[in-house]
Amino acid sequence: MKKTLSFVMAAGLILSLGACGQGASTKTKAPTAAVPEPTTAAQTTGTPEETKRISDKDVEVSFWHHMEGTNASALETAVNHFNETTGKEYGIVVTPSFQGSNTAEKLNTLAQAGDWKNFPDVCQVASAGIPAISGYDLFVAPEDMYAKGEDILLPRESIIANNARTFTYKDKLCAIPFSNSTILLYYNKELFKAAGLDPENPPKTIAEMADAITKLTAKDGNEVTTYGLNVQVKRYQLVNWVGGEGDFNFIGDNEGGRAGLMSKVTFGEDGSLMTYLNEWEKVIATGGYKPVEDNINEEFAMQLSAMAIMSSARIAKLNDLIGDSFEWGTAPFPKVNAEDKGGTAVGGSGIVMFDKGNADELRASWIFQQYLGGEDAQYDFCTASGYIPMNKDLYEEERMKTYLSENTAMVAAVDQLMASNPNVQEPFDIVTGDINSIIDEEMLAFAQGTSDKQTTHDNIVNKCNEKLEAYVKVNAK
Amino acid sequence: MKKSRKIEPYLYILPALLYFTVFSFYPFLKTIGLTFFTVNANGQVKAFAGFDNYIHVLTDTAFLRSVWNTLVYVVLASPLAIFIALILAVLANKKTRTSAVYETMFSLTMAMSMSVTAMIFKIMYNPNIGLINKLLHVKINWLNDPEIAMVSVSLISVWLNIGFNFLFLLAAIRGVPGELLESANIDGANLYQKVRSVILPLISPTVFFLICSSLAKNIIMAGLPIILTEGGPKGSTSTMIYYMYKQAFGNMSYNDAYAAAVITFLFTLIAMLVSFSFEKKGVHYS
Repeated sequence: MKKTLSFVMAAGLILSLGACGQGASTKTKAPTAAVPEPTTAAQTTGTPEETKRISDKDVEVSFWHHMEGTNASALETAVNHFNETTGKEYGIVVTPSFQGSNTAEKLNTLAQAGDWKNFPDVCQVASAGIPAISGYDLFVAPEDMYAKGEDILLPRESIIANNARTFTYKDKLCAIPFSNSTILLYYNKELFKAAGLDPENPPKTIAEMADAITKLTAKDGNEVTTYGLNVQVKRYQLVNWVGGEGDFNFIGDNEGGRAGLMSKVTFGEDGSLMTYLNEWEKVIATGGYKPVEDNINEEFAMQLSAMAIMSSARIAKLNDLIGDSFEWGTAPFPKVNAEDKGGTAVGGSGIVMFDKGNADELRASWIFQQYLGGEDAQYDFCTASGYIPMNKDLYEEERMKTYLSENTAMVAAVDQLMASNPNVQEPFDIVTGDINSIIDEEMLAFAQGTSDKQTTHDNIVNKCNEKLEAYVKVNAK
Repeated sequence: MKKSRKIEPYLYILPALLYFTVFSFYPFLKTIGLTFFTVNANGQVKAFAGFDNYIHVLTDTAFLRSVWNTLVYVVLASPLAIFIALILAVLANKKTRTSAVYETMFSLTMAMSMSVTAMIFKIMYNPNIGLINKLLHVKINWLNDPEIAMVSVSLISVWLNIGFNFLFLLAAIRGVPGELLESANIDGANLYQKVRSVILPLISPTVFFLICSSLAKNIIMAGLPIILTEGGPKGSTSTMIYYMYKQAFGNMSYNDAYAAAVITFLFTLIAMLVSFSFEKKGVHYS
């Protein structure tokens, strides 16, 4: 009896563990509603201001986001500004709510439980979440709203093509781009000068970067005191390098998952991965390359690395860390080969919306969704956070020109994004976590000399394909 | 009357039972059920899979590595956090004017957020600019060397848990009757002998509680790898629950995640049963 009791008690103590994995349900159907006609009751009478109101009562819109710290403040300022201006005109009140760093994960959990009622009206999501989210029955694509042509505040043409492509799945724009970034080379101009390099002419290719690393690396005996370059090559870095080769490279089949389910990587069979590895070998051979990122921002700020490769979203952080202690700059992401024209992918998040069966809420959500992509919201948010505006028209305005002239580190990011081929994007590879781990481990082994070039190539291709194949096997319709 | 008396105790546990049924028992049983099916990324059951999901997980080197990592973490973190807390509790046993100050200092770690602590340790562990390497005059890559990354993560956990363990142990030690310690003094026992023969047996129920709770907590640990290492380098800090989390939310593979959750449950259950067997031999309630 005592034994049984002990067993039951032990099981009871830890039973909740098993529930950790619980999340799925066989329910997937949401209460479907076609894109409704906007309410017109308030459009017929009253003063010009009153005619804009969606309803007699304020329409409430719930908005989930994943911004923290300064970025969260910038976002909340934009939401408050909406509530005080456009929101007031239309009778819309938006309530923002922080939902952790991965909103797509939260939406997915609700979708699996069939809990459509608790979905937000509008949500900020990273681009990787788009394929799953676009499958929810209550999802409404901006593409469909543009097709209806009603309540257009943000013309479709105002969205930069590269940013639009980031959030395009199966030929539909699925989100309004919002907080976007691109990958850049950060470099220490003073260390460049000290090494006899031209600080106004940073490396343009990986080979040039390898030469610079050799000159920039400082050693005390055998110990490196200043690394020429710090970057840990994971999925994000690799797909930008390979994606920019030639005119562009999709990385995987079905246009890198944007035309349909990505079932394999293509960078093995088209030779683009090997082309990249051939060049990267030169960087490793310098002996001044640090292949792991401990605290990449701080180490660059302390001049322990002369160059670093990071997202443009780090510009604001580096400004804070470095201040006036030394002169630094940003430059376009070094190409694999000088003749490459692809450029880089757009990173970051976009805004999606859901139809929860209330026509007024849907209309209000559409207005708010567009507002966040408008010139005012983009200018305010981007100048406060360091993200790159996605609104083409904003760049024609004097305030943006002034901002860029005062923030030269942003110029390289903007120019690079504008000059890139829209087809260069991070793939919708679904098993992103596994692919990131595979690339990280294999590239680290290559950099540390425990794996040769061919093995690194083969392992990345084969292991990524194994993971994709397993996913497709279960999920292909 | 007799019948209602029989029912009465069950009514007391009913609220808790309902709570556990909804939030633990039902999802747990459902998880077990779903491990025998193929489930797609939308959570839809596609086909009966038998034991395929278990076989897949148990032959996945990443999962096997995470089992080993979890064992290393538990073996390092659980006893060390209790042992250090015990030493501190013995030292702090005697009440003095400054007791409140050092008792607060020793227990302060339980008031620290795990994510904040992790970020502070990340800077301290930095091989180039970190405090630890500077103080020790070494050049160790604490979080990026696969050989020692799990040890580094475990040390953070030890630091975090010392405060909680210290509070319980201090209360237990102060509950040891003074006359017993006095008798030991008269018999000429030194501090080690007093701790081993008098204090430890008398505080064994508290130690047992701390062992059980820390085992359960540490086997299902995933927070530190999520914040600090993403399971790397080379999977060296991926724990069983981190594996489950990554499969479910990083790769949308609920098949692996469900099976990993149930296997982790079994591991925890075994650890609990072993602990309960220790209770029979080593815990004194008198």
